[in-house]
Amino acid sequence: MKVIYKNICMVALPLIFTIGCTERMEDMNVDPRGFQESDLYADFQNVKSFIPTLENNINEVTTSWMYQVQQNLNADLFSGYMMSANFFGRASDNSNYNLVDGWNGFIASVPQTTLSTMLQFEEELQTLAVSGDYLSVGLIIKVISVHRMIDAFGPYPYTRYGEGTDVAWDDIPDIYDAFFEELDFAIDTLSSYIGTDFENRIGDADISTFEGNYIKWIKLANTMKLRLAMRISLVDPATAQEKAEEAANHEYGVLEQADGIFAINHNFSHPLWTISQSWKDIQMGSDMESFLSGFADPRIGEFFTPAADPVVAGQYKGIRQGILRDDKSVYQDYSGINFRQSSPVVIITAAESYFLRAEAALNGWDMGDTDAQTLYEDGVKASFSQYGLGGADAYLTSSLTPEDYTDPKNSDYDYSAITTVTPNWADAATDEERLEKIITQKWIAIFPDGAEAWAEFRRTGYPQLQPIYSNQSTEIPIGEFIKRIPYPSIITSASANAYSNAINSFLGGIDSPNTRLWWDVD
Amino acid sequence: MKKNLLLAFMLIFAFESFLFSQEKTITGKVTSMEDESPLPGVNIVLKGTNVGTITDVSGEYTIMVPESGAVLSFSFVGYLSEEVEVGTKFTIDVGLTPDILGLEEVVVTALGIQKKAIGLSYSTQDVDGEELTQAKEVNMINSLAGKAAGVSISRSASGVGGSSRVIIRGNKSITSLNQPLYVIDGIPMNTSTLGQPIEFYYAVDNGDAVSNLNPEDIESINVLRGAAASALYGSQAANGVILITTKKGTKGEPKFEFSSTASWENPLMLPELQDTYGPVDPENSVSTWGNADNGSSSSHVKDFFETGSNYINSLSVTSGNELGSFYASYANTSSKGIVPENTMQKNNFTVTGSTKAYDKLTIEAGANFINQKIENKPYLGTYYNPVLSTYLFTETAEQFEYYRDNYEVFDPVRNMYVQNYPTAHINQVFTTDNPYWLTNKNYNESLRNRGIFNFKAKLEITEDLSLQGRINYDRVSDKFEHRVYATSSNVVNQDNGEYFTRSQIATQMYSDILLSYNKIFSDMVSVDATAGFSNTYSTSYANLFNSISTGSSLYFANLFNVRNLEPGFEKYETESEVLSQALFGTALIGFKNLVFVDLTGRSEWSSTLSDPNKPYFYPSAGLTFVVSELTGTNNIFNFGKARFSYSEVGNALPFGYANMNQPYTQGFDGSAVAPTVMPLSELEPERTSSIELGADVILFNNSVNLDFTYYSNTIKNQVFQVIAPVGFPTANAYINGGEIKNSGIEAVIGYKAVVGSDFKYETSFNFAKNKNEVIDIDDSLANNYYVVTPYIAGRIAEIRVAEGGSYGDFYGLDLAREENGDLLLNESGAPVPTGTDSLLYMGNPNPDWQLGWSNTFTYKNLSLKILIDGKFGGEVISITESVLDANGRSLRSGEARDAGGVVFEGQTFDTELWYTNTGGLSGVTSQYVYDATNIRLREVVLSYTIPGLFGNAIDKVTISAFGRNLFFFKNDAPFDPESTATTGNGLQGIHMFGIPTTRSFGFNLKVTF
Repeated sequence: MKVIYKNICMVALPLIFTIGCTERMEDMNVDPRGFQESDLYADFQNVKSFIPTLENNINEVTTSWMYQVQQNLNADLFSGYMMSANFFGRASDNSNYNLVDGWNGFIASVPQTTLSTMLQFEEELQTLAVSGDYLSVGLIIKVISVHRMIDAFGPYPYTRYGEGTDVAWDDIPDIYDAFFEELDFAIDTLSSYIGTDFENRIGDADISTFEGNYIKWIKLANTMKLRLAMRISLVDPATAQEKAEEAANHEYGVLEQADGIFAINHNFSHPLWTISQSWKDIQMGSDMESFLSGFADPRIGEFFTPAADPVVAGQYKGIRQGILRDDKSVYQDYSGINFRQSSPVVIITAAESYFLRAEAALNGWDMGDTDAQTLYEDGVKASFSQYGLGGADAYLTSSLTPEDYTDPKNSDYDYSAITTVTPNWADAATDEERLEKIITQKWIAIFPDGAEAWAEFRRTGYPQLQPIYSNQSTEIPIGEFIKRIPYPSIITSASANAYSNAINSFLGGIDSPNTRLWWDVD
Repeated sequence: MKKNLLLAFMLIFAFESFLFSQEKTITGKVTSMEDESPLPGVNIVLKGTNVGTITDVSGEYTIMVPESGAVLSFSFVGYLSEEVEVGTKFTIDVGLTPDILGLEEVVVTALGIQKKAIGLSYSTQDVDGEELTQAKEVNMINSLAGKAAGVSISRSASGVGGSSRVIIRGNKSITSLNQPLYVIDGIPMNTSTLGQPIEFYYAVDNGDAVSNLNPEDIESINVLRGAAASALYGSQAANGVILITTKKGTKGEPKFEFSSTASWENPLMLPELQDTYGPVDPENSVSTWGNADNGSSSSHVKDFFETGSNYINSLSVTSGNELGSFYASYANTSSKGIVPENTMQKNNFTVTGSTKAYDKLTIEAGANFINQKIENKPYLGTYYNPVLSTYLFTETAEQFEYYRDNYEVFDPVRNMYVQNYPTAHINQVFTTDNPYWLTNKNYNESLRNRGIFNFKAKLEITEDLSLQGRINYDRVSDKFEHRVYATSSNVVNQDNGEYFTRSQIATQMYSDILLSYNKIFSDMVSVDATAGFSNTYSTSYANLFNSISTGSSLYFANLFNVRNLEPGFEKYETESEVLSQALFGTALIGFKNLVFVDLTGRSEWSSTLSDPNKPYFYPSAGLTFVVSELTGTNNIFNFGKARFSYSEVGNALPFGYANMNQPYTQGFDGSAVAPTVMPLSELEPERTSSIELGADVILFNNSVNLDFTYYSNTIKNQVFQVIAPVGFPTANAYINGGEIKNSGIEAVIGYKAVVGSDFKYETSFNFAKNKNEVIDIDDSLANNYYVVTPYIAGRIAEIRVAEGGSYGDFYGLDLAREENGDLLLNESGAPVPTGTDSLLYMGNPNPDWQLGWSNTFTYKNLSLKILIDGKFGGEVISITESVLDANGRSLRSGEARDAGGVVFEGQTFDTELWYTNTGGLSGVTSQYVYDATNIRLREVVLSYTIPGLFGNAIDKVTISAFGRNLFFFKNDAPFDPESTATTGNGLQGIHMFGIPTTRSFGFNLKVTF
């Protein structure tokens, strides 16, 4: 048939004065204003341009409403950090454990973008003679990004992602193994570039605060490795100890106060600024108020803005977690989240690595020539210094405890503090109390990383949060906390078979918010 | 002067004619056999030559013929042709017989190919150009409403320049266009627009293609409903075709036609508000749950809407002789909407001409230019919507007047005028700026320029065989901009204002070549066959710069240009090219006038397929049996035919979908953004197969005619986007899936009564019933449905295409019940909605059946036409009412308060408790579902024609008065169920603070001279 078609082109078309038949027909079906990565060979942008894309997608930075549903309206609430005055036109929502499928889809779709982007990125890396450093940076971001989703849902088709249309899923231990493997590859590879001509060549393609510094990227990878190790420290202590010690004692080690934070610089508005200050959709949580006010913690003014509501004007006032709302204006002027539009989006703080090491040291693991108390106190100091605050030493000797919470607008929401944890290490008598201090201070230090804070709360039970006020779940008993997020329909519908196989094999047959994940042992 | 113009024009085409050596002059008069009235404009041709003339106003003619052997052929539309041998005669008077049965009638079918009407195996419906101009609509397609069976027209609730949704024989495509293809003189129109709203925010109607045309240029409209009729158009025609035939030059002295229409419109229906109870906190809330002392307003709504007006003036001229003819027209449309400051200006220029050369060659060429500017189109839905702001005004009518006169005040701090309104910056899901601020300081402008140019050459190779080539270029350029002044609602706008601008240029180059053969063999077998090749090349280029909803603003307040945009604004540039080529053939073979076989085949190549070298072929076949040829005719049974057709139509893929290497784009900050969608596997073209059977009957001395059609069409392999299985390289994927069936019947019944010589009555019913079934949808979709418009907070329904359901079904919430059936109440005693996780079926907006009834009374030169139009069945939803209830604005909520509460199933609830829990943007859907059945007085036209004035200096003057959409005989919904938020597929049947449908009155003056 093709022959006939060509003949027609030659004979008929000139006859009717039209544009000629063209071989180009085969290439027409693509927008020429779009491009393929291969069009970006100049300045190696075919690989470099992926780095900002990947970095902007750990927490979705470019589109605030996506950040809102990726993390803010789930983990940021479940971690006790924040609470929303808005009811989003719903009788109840995630904050009441009535899980909103349409929101929670973005917990999956954002890291899925990372995974798709990595597939393309790895393909483009084939064009470079030497590409290990680029790949390493990509893998580190990929692990940080996907890990958040795995800790929210559980099993996922991670290792075979992109292989086809019906990919088998992995159980959580296998995914963690893959994470470790990828981080180890990155750590080893980047280490081998130090001192060579290639060191730091990624340069300003890296829009993070690390600005392409490979040693800092190695430290970030080690910190992430340490984070993963501590997560599995209860369920698989042997592997955890091995990985934690490797990370902490690595040639370049983990992030130290001097390295600063790993944060993304961007040209957008900080999503939390938009969500809180512009939309007034998120406010301080009552738990944060109870701990920070109780400790007279100066970071409260860094995290939150004083309430504008006349009833509590000038105070730092949080909203009781999980109350039912039907009128946004009631609580919208309680304390908002204190970010400027231009604030970088913090992904991992240096302070966290001290608290991770402190916990490992508490377990008796080899964290070098130091001990749990020193690491704990250095963690608090690193956090104070991150905000340019003084007074850490005095704070660390304070025996103040969390305050009772009161809501002047509704006394039903009031509660008494349920822990007497203090900042002062010396106040702890047992290792359990020391652990509570470490995790409680880590919780404060890593604010606003709700995803990590919620995961550590599930694993350790710290800080001791107040159960949500109105639990609308049919599965989570009253007084208990949500343990995972069921798979959203964007996963369950398109991958029905693989999904149900995974639920049966790995989650005991039910996809419930009351199921503990592998590392969350009782 | 006129003659000079004509001469100049003719020079372009002029060819010398032949002169005959020995000639004589024949004169005569042509009359109608029916009533012996003179027939003007009858074509008289000297057989075997192109020498000809036409009759004048009094039916008289003069022609030079050779001394011997001359035969004159007389032909006129609607009459049987006649041939007369001249012989020795010098005077030849001829009476032509009306061709009531259409035996000789030739109809224009797809691609402009002419076929015998009697042989058509499918139903078509003609609408005369007069129907479009008598009670003129600015968007002329609205004039078709109620006049063509099986055609459903919904007008967009968007003010002047608004578009219309036209659906023929039901919705077919899940995600692609469901609107018909518009064809002008055989050539598909470029239907590019800036798009339609898919959501209720930032929603603006960007108009449509058909509304660009000047109705005065239109000779007739023919609706091809089924696939058999439109198969030759291939891809684009799966949704039916509206064939538009334009006016051409006619031979004779220059003839002018001047037409002037003035019409005025006002809202047909407005929501009912209460004015007893006032606001509680007017600075922070738009609700009126306050006490009865401070009151609110209901009358301001009526005051807000102004009287809309439309002035359409057009002048056309036509002239010609045996060498050629031309037609030229100019029309100006000036409209003002019912929302203040909403205006439209349109200019249409048309010129066409034709000439005959070397006896055998006809050349035609034409050009159309359209310039249209619409200002301040009201935004629909939640943002920038002055209608919403007006309905939710909480204070008194005097206050509203104050805010009208003082929508801006000078702010010495900012040294500029700022908005003055209590609810402008309330933090809520919608924006409630001062409506007058919105109409004055929320300026938007749509500019459209369109040029259509065509050239056609037709060569008569022999008497039976002709070759025709055509080329047509249709270019549309659109520009839209929106300026949001500083101090507009800070819910969606930044401090210094916002700016949005986009432009698009779309072109279509169409060309084809047709070889036609028409012959009758020994009065037994007739053949009308055409083979051809066509080439359609379309391009589109668009760019956009926008700060709205991006978090960025302007460097300097109220300075609206791209340079003044702060970083972070949205920007894009996109381009596309589509080439499709087709080889096709069609043949209508008749045996006597008894049996006709109609065959078509089309093979198409498209650049949008994954393998553009692989053609896809689709055929159609039809059979017509003229029963009356066999049975003979009598006074009762005048004519009858039965017809059957089967056809398949392939529909090429949307641009870019089939590409396995999807392009990258760039994010706001320049970063590369990887594709998020690709085909799951190789995509196939969609395919529609349909059958149609029917009968046409004429009875009782030609006074009754009946057309009956049954059809069934099924579209398979639909292309749409789904969420990809986890682990697929992209998050979303294009797939082939789904099967939708539409079946139904259409019937047209007409009756004509002539009483004496002066009075005539004509009536006609057109009936259509369509049943839409979603047979199958892709397995990868959750619960076997595709979501056209999702349920989100802020919309009380979800629109689905669900297996086992019907296209456009909407789902929502009901009141939750206890197991014993009692209402479930929460702690505060308020009703509770059912869960958003399991939405319930609430209805479908498409009517079950439609009926149009037209009546024309003619007495001498006076005629009265009345058109009544009903749509029966279907449901619609009103978010407007739900929001008005929740805010205590509705009359209903006022009356309930007066009565001490809302009584529901015998229980009395506090009014505020009830409505704040059942109403609102996320209200209980079931409480806001209305029966969409409506019957309306669609059109009334009274016209009077004065023939011949001032000694025939003026041929004809027609004056008419008309009204459209006058009132409902029945309508249970609190708004016009026919109006729609978008002419796209989403949001159908959901009404949200749209601009009310209007009732219009007007006058038309038409002078022919």
